[in-house]
Amino acid sequence: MKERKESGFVKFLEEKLKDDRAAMARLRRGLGKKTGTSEMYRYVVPFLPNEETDENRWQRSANRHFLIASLFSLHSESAGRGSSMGKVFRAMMASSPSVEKRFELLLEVDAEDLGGHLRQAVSLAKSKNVWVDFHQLFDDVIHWGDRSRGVQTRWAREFWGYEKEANKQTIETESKGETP
Amino acid sequence: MNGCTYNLIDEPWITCSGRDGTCRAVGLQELLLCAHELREIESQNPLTIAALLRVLLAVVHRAVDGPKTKPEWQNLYETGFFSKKVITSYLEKVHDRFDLFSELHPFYQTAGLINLDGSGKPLTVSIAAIMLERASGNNKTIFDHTTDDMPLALSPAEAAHALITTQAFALGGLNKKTANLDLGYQQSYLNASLVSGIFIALTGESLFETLMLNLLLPEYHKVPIENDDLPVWERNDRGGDGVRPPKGYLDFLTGKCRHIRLLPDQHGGGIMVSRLHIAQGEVFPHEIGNPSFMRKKNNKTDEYYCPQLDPDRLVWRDSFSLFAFNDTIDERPAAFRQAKTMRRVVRPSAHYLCTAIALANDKANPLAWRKENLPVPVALLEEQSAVYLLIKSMDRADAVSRILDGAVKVYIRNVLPPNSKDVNDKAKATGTMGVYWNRLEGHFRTFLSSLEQEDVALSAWYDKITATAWDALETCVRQRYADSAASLKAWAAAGDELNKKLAGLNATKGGELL
Repeated sequence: MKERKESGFVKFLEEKLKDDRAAMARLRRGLGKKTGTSEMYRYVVPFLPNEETDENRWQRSANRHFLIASLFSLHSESAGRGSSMGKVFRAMMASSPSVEKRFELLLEVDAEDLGGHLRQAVSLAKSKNVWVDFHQLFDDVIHWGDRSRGVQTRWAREFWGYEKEANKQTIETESKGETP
Repeated sequence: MNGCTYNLIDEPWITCSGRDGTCRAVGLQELLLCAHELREIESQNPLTIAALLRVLLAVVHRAVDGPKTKPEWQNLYETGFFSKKVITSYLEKVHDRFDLFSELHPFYQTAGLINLDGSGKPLTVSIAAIMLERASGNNKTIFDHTTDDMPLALSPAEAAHALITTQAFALGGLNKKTANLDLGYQQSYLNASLVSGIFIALTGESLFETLMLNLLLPEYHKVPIENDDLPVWERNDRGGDGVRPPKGYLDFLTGKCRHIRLLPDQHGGGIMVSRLHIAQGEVFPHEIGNPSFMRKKNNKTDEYYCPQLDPDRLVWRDSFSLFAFNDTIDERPAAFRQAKTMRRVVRPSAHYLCTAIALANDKANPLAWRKENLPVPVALLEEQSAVYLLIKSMDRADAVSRILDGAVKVYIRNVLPPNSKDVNDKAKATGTMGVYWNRLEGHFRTFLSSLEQEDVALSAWYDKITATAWDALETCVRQRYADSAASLKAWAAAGDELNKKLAGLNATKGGELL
């Protein structure tokens, strides 16, 4: 099994905010707002890099934190198993074959447009009761624009590629809320 | 009278590397007397190395008048160097025959040769005519972009290299020239003796050892010997043109496939050669097999033949043909067979290389030349168990290559519109198989070097094959195509195909998905 990527920010969301309805509502109001809202600052800014670093880089990092925080507020049941959105879409396809087209569109977006497509994807996952690993998603968002397109390749492989029977079963049981 | 002289016995025209790593130019005499201190001949043109080796072997055979038996060979080898007395005595006797510009007996040339134009007047030819790498006449522009209009002049050393190389590797094709000396009009040229195969030599730790390892006894070279077998420089007849049987092994080694006469000019105190005369010379029939050529079995007819160099196929991939033998069949190059027999007298710690040198051509057009070196573990020369490991290793590499080819086609099939007809062409255009085999070569050398470790070496080799297949697929397919969703989907399918099939081979790693 792959080692799960741990994000301190996502861990904070899971452990401190998940059960705080007011906090989650504030994060949810940040959906679709690339630079977040002032309500989100108290939760997000402590995790942002030092202001003295490159301004563009800081802004991109801030946008990613706002995005993950707002997505988390949408669907806070975490998979916690290192499964990428490729596996999430694969699990959703079992009940909705049209999901494949949505997944293909998602693979082709660039970093600027990623937030909107992910919001739709996470909404859909919630409606299908498929969990999302936000630790993995956070890391994938960071590397989405890499020239190697490693994230997209991995998601594609996990969606279309061969999956071992044991892994498939575990995702399905987790999505149903059962303990694997 | 041209007034020029350049004697190849004395003048420093062959660059050699010493065993201490330094390089220096030497003449024939110094080369042979210091052969035990020299590592190898250096040349940018590997064909020159093969041609020079044959000339040197002929000199040694003639100087020692043998060796004709195993004890004679053993005595020569165990001395550790060529006898100064024997070598200098012979070279003194034939000294005048090694002058490149002699009027009477120019080395490896035909005295008095003149090409004639339609009105019977002398017509010289550019020196580029004996340089395969030059775009001359009808030669394709492969290596350079000079034309026959551009003046080209060679130093005597360079001219000597070109001359010797041409006598071994000249390509057949149109001639359409007239020459004197009863040669008359000649429509075409014939291939020289080393064109139609892959020349194989065993390379030792010194030039002395290399020459000894390739100094073949009659029972190994099997060229019938007549009483008047002489190297070309000792012949007094100028030779004819066309096909004739060799008079023996010395004649075979130094056949003059072209009549050539270099035309030197004095240039500011030095000699340069820019023009020559040339005509078709003598070639040997194909039935006289070259004992130094690689031989390969035709699996359909069970007959052995001498393959030519394929620019797309590295020689090491035919290692089975180079090294395989059993109790009844041994078609390995003669030097290998002889080395196996003489192994008991050779140093136990000896490390050999198999050196393969060849020219690929399309009729009169040179396409590529190549020199490949492969380590030769002693066990591979002697033990059939080592040969068995080699067979297994090549079988695995071939099996994975077929799987990889299949995976590439899966990718292309998924990327192209349905029912596309050019899947194979596009799959080939990715260049994946070339990358696979090229990258595998280094690992193969490592495998050969560690052959005595048997299963450990084989297991490590299998791992490398798997990793190289993935690497080739990633490099040539994944990284090369636009990253649309369709191509990413195709990549997932190709990866699955490779993974599944490799797992089916029981490879040590089925291959983790990238």
